[in-house]
Amino acid sequence: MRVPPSVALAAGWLALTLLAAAFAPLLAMDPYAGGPDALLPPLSPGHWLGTDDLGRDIFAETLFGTRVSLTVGVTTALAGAVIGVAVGATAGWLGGVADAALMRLTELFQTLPRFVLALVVIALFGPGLVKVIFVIAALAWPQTARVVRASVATLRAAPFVDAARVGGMPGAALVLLEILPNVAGPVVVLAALDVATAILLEAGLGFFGLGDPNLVSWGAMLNEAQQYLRGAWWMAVFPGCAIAVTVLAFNRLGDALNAASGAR
Amino acid sequence: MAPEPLLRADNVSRQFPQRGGMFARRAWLRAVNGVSLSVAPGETVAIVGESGSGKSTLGRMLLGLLAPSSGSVSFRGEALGGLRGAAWRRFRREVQVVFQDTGASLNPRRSIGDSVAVPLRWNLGLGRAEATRRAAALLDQVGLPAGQFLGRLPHTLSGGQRQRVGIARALASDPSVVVADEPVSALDVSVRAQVLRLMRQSQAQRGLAYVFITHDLGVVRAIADRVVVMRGGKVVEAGSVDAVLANPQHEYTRALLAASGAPVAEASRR
Amino acid sequence: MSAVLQVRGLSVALANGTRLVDDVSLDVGAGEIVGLVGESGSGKSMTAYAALGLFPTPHARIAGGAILLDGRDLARLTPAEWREVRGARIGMVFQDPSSFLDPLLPVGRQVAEALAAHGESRGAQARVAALLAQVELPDGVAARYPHELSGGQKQRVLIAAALAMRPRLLIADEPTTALDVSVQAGILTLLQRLRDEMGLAVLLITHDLGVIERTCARVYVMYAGQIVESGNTAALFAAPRHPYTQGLMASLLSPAVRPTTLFSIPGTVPPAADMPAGCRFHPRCPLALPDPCAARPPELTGEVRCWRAEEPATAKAWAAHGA
Repeated sequence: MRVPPSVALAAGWLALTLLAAAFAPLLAMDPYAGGPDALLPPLSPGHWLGTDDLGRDIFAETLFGTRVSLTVGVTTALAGAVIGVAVGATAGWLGGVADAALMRLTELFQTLPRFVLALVVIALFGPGLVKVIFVIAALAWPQTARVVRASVATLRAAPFVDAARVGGMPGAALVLLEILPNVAGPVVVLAALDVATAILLEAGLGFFGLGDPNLVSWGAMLNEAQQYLRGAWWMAVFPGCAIAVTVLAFNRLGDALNAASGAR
Repeated sequence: MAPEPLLRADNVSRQFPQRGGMFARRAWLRAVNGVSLSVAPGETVAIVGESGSGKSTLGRMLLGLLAPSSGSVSFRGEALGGLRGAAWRRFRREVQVVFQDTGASLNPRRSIGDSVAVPLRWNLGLGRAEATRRAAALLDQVGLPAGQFLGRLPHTLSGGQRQRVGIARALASDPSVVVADEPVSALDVSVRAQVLRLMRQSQAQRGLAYVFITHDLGVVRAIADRVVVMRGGKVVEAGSVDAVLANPQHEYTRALLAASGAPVAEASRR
Repeated sequence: MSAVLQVRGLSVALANGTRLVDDVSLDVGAGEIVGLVGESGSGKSMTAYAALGLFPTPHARIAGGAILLDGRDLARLTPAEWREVRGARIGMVFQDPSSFLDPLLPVGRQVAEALAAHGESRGAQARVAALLAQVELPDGVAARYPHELSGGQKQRVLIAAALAMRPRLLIADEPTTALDVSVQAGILTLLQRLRDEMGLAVLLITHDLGVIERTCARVYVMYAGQIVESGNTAALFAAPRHPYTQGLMASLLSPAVRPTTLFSIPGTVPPAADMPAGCRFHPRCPLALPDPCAARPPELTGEVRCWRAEEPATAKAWAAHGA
């Protein structure tokens, strides 16, 4: 199977981030350790990407930042997929009033403005990684739900489902065993794209200071870099590039999965 | 003495709401309108009609997939609506289906062995190993050697092969009636006869009854004992195949026969 | 009678060399309906696509031969030249009318599009009305949407669109297969009338022998990418010479007669990538001999492609099988 170069690159980058997240303590110094060497430019001895205003090593921060990004990205995509599939499948299978009610709920969540929601949640419950994940997951599931609902409603009328029913399968088994495996394709594609969106959102929240203040994240790095943009460009550029490339990589992967499943 | 019918439809009707927009009065489409028929053990009843005749909707009601709006469908004398527990399970085992091969009659994600095993595992409650064994035997019986075909996916098979799988699946729970909805319409002429022959053989071996839904009068003549002609949801003519096809009473039946033509077959041997 | 379409030795192959159509030659003259009959895998649709320059997959290409329309070789046309020919010099009608009509436009507009595409938009409305009348559709149909029309009516609209530019040749690929039996006769009668009125040459591709018998003066039978028999329809149906044609006819089910045995040709059509050596039909043929049938492919001689065509036993090839 020929793999387009951009897909290979994307996969390669994502593998690197995974390794970085897993082995960060082995690869870099403590990102929280400030020191007297503040605002050193890149290629300084001992700090090859430079340091920030508190003397913390940019390379270490960027590397450790992968942990937050990947955690947020993957968990929200998974949560979004699980909730989306549950809601969408129920709506598509039951139809009628249940379908209408669930779709109104879906639309409600789709229209929620993301930062307002984040502000409200954090104002009420305080900052923290779990709350960030909660907010982003709440915004991710509606799209999956719509797609799953449409697929399930269509497949519900397919002859092979009727055949399975005549073969003795009860309703729940029909949905789980006959219909959902056929819906997996678009769900996986959406999940990959959701990871990208989640990382971007998390960075945005961090940028506004709504992330977890105890954890190193790319968004928070950008937040701190604002004041030093003119003088210490490296504080913004490296986390910024990391965000951009990672998001692009997940997008590319999602596109490739989409093309692969559509081609069948 | 006529044997008790296995399946019976008594004056069944089925209507569907028409979409008329928010302010239009609800209109109803009568897909099936006051149809009665019965199927005795071992006989083949053909339901003939064109698109919009309601034959497929009637078929689904006979299979218990759709409830009639009025009238009732009975299995072994008991109305389907009242069947519960063991009696319902018996109905499910004994009344099976073969669909038209449109590419969606088999789950595209399941191997054909798994698809055939579904009624074995659910209707008969067999364990996985036993179900696989029997599914393999069924595939052998329909001319698809299990060694080669058990693990194949539907899209790797031809239309005729997929229909054989559908027949194997229908025979899995040892039914007494098989409802076949246009089982050969999508197949090539030379494959059609192979599949029909397989169905006839299975009928002879197992004493099956068939409800054969089709639009093709040639198929009706080849395989059916009695025929019911439907148009616009109603039965316009019914009777033994020989009588109805040799001497059609209703003008619609006559029109269908005339359109079916195929004097070609006369030209050759027979 | 002049031949409008002359196909000579046409071969269509995939990129990997697999031949889907092998050395096919046929003629269609003005004012006649010629049938091309075959089953799935016979290559009949590919032949039609070649004549229209419309391959459904980018990997299929014309690997040899010529397709002459009034003497001009279509196999050599550039895409720009094809746009001038397709729809204007050759009309085409396909199987499922619903797939070929835009659900969002009234049908009159769609027929007018056929005219506009070839630069004839002036007087379009009158011309569309005339075309729809020619295909026996009542007044007012032009303003209807496709979902308001029956299958037969939609197919008539498509025939009107196909004939808008007064082509010399009409290629119809399974035009009645998706329609109800009672509607088919009307469409076929319409095609015959148009043939007479316009001197149209029609290539009718189908798997349905009944349709062929009703409408076609001559017929070509295809199997596994080749023409195995051809000739005058009545003569061919009365006395088919190739064992495959005989088998096809014996497989037919007629409402008039209940068959004692259900005859079918044993075996299946070989996949294009895996053709048998020698005669392509020999693995399924009751008369096949190791030499020459299994060894050398027969040529098309005197309208039949069979080594044993001249032998008396061949006339009843399936006698031993109960047909």
